[in-house]
Amino acid sequence: MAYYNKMVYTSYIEKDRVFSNVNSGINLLLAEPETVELNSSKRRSLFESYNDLVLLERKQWGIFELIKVSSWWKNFSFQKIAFTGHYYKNDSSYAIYLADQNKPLSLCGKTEITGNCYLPKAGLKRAYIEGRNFEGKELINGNITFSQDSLPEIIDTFKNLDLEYFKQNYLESDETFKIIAEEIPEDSLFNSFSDSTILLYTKNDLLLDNIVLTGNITLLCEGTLEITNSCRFEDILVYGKSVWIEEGFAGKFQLFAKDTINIGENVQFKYPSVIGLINDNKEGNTNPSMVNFERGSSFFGVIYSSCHSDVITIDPILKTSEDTKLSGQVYWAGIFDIKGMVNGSVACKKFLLKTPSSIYENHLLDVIIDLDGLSEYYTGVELTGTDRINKVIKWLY
Amino acid sequence: MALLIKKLKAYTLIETIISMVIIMLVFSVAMMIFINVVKTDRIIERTDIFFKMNEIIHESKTHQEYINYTFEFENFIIERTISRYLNSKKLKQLTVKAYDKNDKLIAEKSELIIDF
Repeated sequence: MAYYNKMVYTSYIEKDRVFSNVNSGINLLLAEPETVELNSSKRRSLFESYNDLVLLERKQWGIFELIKVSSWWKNFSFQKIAFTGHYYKNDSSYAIYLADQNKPLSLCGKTEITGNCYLPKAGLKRAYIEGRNFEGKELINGNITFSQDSLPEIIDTFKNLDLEYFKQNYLESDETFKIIAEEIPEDSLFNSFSDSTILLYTKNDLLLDNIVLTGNITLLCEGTLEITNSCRFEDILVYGKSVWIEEGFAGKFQLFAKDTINIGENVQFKYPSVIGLINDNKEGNTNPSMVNFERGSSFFGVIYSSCHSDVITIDPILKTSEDTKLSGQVYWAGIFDIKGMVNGSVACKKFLLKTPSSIYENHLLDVIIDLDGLSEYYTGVELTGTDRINKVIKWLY
Repeated sequence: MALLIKKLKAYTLIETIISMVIIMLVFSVAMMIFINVVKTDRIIERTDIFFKMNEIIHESKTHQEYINYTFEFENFIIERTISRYLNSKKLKQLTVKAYDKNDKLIAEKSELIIDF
């Protein structure tokens, strides 16, 4: 009985040590991610003691980094998995970064800008459009610094999330479990991040109806992908040549496309979501590409665009409607036809304003861009790279 | 008249009482041995120290108190130290050690903490 009593005590202590080692491993990967190479794993002794071995893994999941830490003692093991990112509000955060194309930023109507801004040397002006003047007290509630003639460069890791990347890492990989997308066996699929990735693949156009996809799943469609509002996606990766999302859809996932993403009315992208428009044409962007948010839609996460070629013949367009609400980060290497509200930060080449009578460049009418409106607990991804400490975006399963 | 006398086999009252006394004596001796073994192993004290160490680590992380200190807890000395983890500028190692009165290390726990 005494022996059993001692065994129970020892077991309790050692299990507690396992939990503690996993927490230490998580902190190690957040603070010093280069301890383990991306898309690899490493076994390591934390404190050079006999009972502090951990298995550390880092993997890319869209634009998020996925970290996994496991520890064990005899038959007992414990692991933690999380998405991590390194963008969070600090003194160097900005509300607007507008590339310097020799045109000033003009504000009109009930436009409100809160936060520091990087603006062209041509400066900031009040504008008079459609019979309306600027109706606010201050043009910008924050400091102004001059911007460069192009946006800060985003790092290759995020530029390369194109069809080639998805084919190489998922379709041609032996470690993924592949299913033909037209023949999904159940109406819901759940896959843990501790198991192998499930790939749903099709070369053709695809309509998804009444499907729930959750977890470690990648959907790759080489044609046009249509998603109806009876679908539910959570934490998955989706790639389509063009993507159409029916009105009323709600989900939180990472969506990448080459040509067009059309988001219907009242669609909700919850946190943490990502939309990436990646043009992989090395000769430049010769066809217009666009992300369009219809009325009433909302998005919480990161929106960005990228082109493999430095030769941009037609800028991609990001278009929002009057009651669209974006929260988080917008990095748009093109034209932002902005209406509605952005709680967070916006970086773009140009703003566009279309009225019944004319089209204006770098004009904002009744737009709210509010960096203070973004939660201090928001964690995103710094697309231009940083050496800041990572934080957990979401714990996984 | 046929007398129906059935002899019922059973223990007498005295035998029952004596056997109960013997069982109680054996049980008491077994409990004394058990308590003695547990005391010698100091499991109760080590459990107290274990919970105290966890409490110190939790408070350090909650209040962000990262200075070295030493204090007495029951019959033990508990020492909390903070140091840079492997020369990292972003990570600290929080270590809590417990020693008995003879300076023998009883328990030790370390955890990594991010230095924002």
